[in-house]
Amino acid sequence: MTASTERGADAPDRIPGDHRHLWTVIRLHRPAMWVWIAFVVLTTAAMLWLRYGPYGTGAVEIQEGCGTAGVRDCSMIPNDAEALFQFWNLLDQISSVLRNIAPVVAAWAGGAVVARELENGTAELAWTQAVTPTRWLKEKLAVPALFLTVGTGALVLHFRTLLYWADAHNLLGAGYDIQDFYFAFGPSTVALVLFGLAIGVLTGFLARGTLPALAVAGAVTWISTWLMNPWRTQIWPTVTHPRKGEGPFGYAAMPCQWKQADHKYSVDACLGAKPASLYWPVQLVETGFLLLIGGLAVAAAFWLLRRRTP
Amino acid sequence: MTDAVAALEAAGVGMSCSRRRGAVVEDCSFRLPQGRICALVGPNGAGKTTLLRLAAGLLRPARGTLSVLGRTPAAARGRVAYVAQSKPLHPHLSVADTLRFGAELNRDTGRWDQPAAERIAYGDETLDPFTKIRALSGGQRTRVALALALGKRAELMLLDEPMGDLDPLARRQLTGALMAAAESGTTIVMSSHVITELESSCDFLLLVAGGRLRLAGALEEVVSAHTLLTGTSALDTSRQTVIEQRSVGRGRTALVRADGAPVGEWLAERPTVEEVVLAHLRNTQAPPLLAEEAAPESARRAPHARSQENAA
Repeated sequence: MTASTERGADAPDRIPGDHRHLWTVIRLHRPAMWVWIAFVVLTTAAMLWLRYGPYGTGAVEIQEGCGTAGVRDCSMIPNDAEALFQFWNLLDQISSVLRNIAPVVAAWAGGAVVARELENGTAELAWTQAVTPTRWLKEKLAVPALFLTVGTGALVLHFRTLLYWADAHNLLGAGYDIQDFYFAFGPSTVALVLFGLAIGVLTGFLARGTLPALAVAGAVTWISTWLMNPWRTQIWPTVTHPRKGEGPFGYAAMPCQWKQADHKYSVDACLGAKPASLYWPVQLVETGFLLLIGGLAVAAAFWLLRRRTP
Repeated sequence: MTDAVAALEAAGVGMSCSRRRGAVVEDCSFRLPQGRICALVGPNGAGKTTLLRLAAGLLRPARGTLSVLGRTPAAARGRVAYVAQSKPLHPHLSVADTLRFGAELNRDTGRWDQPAAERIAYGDETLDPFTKIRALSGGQRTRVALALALGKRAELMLLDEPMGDLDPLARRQLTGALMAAAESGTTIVMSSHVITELESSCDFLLLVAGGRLRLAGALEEVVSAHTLLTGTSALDTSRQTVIEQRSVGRGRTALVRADGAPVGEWLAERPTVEEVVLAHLRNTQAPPLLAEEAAPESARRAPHARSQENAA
């Protein structure tokens, strides 16, 4: 005990208490942290650009005053509305980044953090420096999980404001192939990113070496996110009335496919348009499911660790 | 318990790395009393590293039990320091950050000795604290790794080939630091495949070859159990265990283990440590020798008493 007080006296530590372990993890994995921060910043910048850039402002101009007396209906999009088409395309891309790329980045982080330390022996260095393997793994999980939750949470909240803004300017339509963005603006996206981290950590233990761990963790997470998409768009019922407020999760559902027989657009063909009342059931089911699988992966990682060390 | 708790005590410890290949360590039973400086000697691939990793709580033995300072290896983690042969360190940390990293990891034990760690790492002030680990030479890296181990102020230090890439001056300096640690009661186990590297500083010997323990005991005791015979007559193998014999000129020399005087015209000499070790490395059929001090406590105790202690 005397030793520690002595050390405290002659080696001034600026970081007090339990935050010091945070320092060790952050200091060791600063590159991974910067990669994640860069990802969050770039995605945020892309969303801001989409809203305030040429496509966002152009799309708003196209839909200006639609649906009011004397102006065309909001669902009658002119053929030369290039800015609006680009806006839709990019909105899909951004939701795809949130749903498909963010978990892969998280999986890489988890895989790199564990596999690199196991590969170059620094994990064992920590285990022989009075940190039990279990606590080591807990720290390796908790700190990235914190960063990923905060980063993804910020992105999802920002994405929501983008969707609300788009909806307010009649830019949202229903009935696209995947409709990722109707699933990307809730807690399930955060759960998906944590799922990626868990897969990455488990792969870090299973794969021998950092490079295979990165490859396998990225591939497994990517494939899981793609497998979930068609499954998820099919198990939930779709919306039948294109009125505002009853559309996908409260947004307007616009008729989206030309019905040859009636010479009008039909909303029935709009696969993927989900009623507003289903928002929380969808989000909670997905979140629970992802956290369950992620939890199993983490449990497996702890089991592997316990098996190899006494 | 007869006396103080052993630093290391193994009872029938066995370990295999994979199912296909054979055991790396097999049926190891020995006892290392506290306060010793122990040389763990054996050829490459003999199982030295596996034995040290088992003691450091990095591997779980497949068979047998191993106790470290009277505890399980996992429970003794806070009191044991281990320096792996590859000297793993985070390459992107500076030397100063590496020492701080050591201090953070050992914060809970309250034993970290920053001045001691700095003394070893910076030595004669040739090492800049802000140099990155990746920019260090092999020898400098070793010094930082040993600084982490010494800063921990462990009761048992397990060093895997610690001096391999040090220059003679640094080697002397670090040996001095280790001796100082040993004087304050720390038990040190150093592995090497060259006995002469350790002979001058160690007082205990563990010799492993082919995964099995060949010799264990106080250095003095192990050496004096052997006699180097030089002569011309035939050896009477019923009276002594012949470890090795070979022709030298017209006569022959033999290293034997015996209590009584040899039969016939023989010049009996005390062998050097190197001669004893080399003879045992060449003749792996020689029966293992466990000097009295190195005999595991458990071997003398009733089996049920031991199982009770393990359960507790």
